[in-house]
Amino acid sequence: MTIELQGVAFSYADDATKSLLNIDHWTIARGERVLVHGPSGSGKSTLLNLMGGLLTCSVGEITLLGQRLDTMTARQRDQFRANHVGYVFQRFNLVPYLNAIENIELASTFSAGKQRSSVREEATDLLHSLNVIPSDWSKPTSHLSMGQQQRVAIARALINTPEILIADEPTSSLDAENRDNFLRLLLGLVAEKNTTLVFVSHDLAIAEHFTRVQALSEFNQEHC
Amino acid sequence: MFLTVASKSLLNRKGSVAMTLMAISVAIFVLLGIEHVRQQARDSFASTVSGVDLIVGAKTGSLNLLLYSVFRIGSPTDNIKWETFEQVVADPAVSWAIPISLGDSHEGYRVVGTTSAYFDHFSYGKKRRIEFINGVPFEGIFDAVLGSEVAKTLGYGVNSKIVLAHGLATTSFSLHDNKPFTVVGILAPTGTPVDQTIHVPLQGIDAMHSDWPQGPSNLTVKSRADPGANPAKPESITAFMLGLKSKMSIFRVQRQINDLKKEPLMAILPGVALAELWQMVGLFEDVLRLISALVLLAAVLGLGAVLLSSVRERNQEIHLLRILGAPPYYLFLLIEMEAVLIALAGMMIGSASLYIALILVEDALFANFGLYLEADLLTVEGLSILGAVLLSAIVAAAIPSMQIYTAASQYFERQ
Repeated sequence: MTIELQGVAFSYADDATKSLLNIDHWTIARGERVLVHGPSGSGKSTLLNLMGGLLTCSVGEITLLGQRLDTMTARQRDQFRANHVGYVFQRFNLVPYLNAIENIELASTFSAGKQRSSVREEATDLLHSLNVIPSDWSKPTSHLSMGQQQRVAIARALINTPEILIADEPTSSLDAENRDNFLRLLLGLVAEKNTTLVFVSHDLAIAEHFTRVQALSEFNQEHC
Repeated sequence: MFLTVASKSLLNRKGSVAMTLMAISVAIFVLLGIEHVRQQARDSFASTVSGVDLIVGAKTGSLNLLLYSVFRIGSPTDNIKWETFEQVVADPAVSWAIPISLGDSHEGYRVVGTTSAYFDHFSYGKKRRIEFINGVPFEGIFDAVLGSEVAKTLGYGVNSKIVLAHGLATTSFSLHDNKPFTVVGILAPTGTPVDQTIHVPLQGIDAMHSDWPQGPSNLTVKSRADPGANPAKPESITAFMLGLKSKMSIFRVQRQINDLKKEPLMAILPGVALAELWQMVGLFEDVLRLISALVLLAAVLGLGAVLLSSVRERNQEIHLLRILGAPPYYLFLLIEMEAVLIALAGMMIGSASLYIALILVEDALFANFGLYLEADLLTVEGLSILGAVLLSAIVAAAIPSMQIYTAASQYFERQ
């Protein structure tokens, strides 16, 4: 299993009485493309933060690629995330004052074992395959359109060839045309690299692109 | 990459960063400037006289004697009789003696009556002798040797005729215009008051005053009547400098001079008097240093404030960098790096503008105060000041850096 959650319970410190997540058992196999949907505030983003080691659960085991995330130190989790997990968000995916190439290079500096020279080459390859035109590569990303920014964000998330890609409503700020374009490019690259994708959205219109579609409430028992 | 992020992040906040940068630059300008002027003034003063073992004058404060004999500042209290001078010089311990006679001027430059011993023995800096760039030492009574600044400013060359005036004002009514002097030599620049001095023979001073209606009452009838004809001995001098054969005898000779019954004289060691002078100036220096330290403090506090307010605008960067796997200390270092970059840029701007300013005021300072400044900022003191600036910037940035560190560590734990 690429991702395995076992008896996970989580609540935020400022709202400790309410257990937001309560997952007995949930697994995702290698290469699966999973769409998780649910109403806002139901804990979708929290689930994604737990899976990337950005949050730690008080109870339970989270295993990614055979490694126990919940027993790692904070520094180990940061390193693990840099090496194995890519993230794409609804927005604010890029450092606004850096250009596309710099944003991608920045992402690679935290991941171990890649030559600087090969990073630039791979970055340009990715940008090419994501239809970002070269004249936009050296502009500060704040000057790019939302659609362009999201495509650069895919390149940034995939530069370290992570085994797992986590996407948190990445299409919510895009219009229909840009959204379909974005999904086509993203899913194409994910399939090509056999990346495991966990995609969170409230938009069920995109369900056809995924191998599995699940509502969060299917595997999360909320306890009040 | 880290450096790119830090510098582009600063460029992204041009306005507030530019203001802080200016504050730091001004602080560095003030700090370095004060330290530099202080250091150079001290060196310049200390190098004004060297190789002289004792300076002798009428009883007065030792500072006063030092100031009028070496720096041509202030005025002597009384003269020394020529016989007394001869008596002191007759001591077998004395190797050489330079008599000096003050009181006249030309175009605001002081005139010093002396003997050729002045050119043979007076030295400055690290025992550097006075050198001629043009002409020769004076021989005739009405010959004059000019300091480099005098010749340059007034445009005199060898064979120029100059008329001396009694007193110091440039517009003195008491011109000795019936006794013009002829320039025979011009000295090389020394960076000391010598450059602003006109040197004439002692006899020339006496001869010039010989037909002065209210001339010094102690002039002899002989010199009054026949000034040009072999003026054997001047009546009196203002002060004299002594070189001794052995340093061992300095204190003995000093005591003898101080104890002279015939005339109340005092002998001082130039080094001791210079140290005394700096002790007096020292308090003033400390105040200046304190002020410049406070200017720096204000500047780095401003830097800290600007960085602190930036932390609040940087949630997006915190989020993103943490997602990418950056540990919280990366953000700590990012803020510190920004502080270091601002400090380094401030150092460059501050020192560069000081350098330009020094080159611009160099001539004016030298002409008006005899203060010779070198535009050389890479001294140990200068570098240690820059080091201190860098350190204080790092310390000031520690607060915003800690804040972003905390924010980054707890970023995802808030809903």
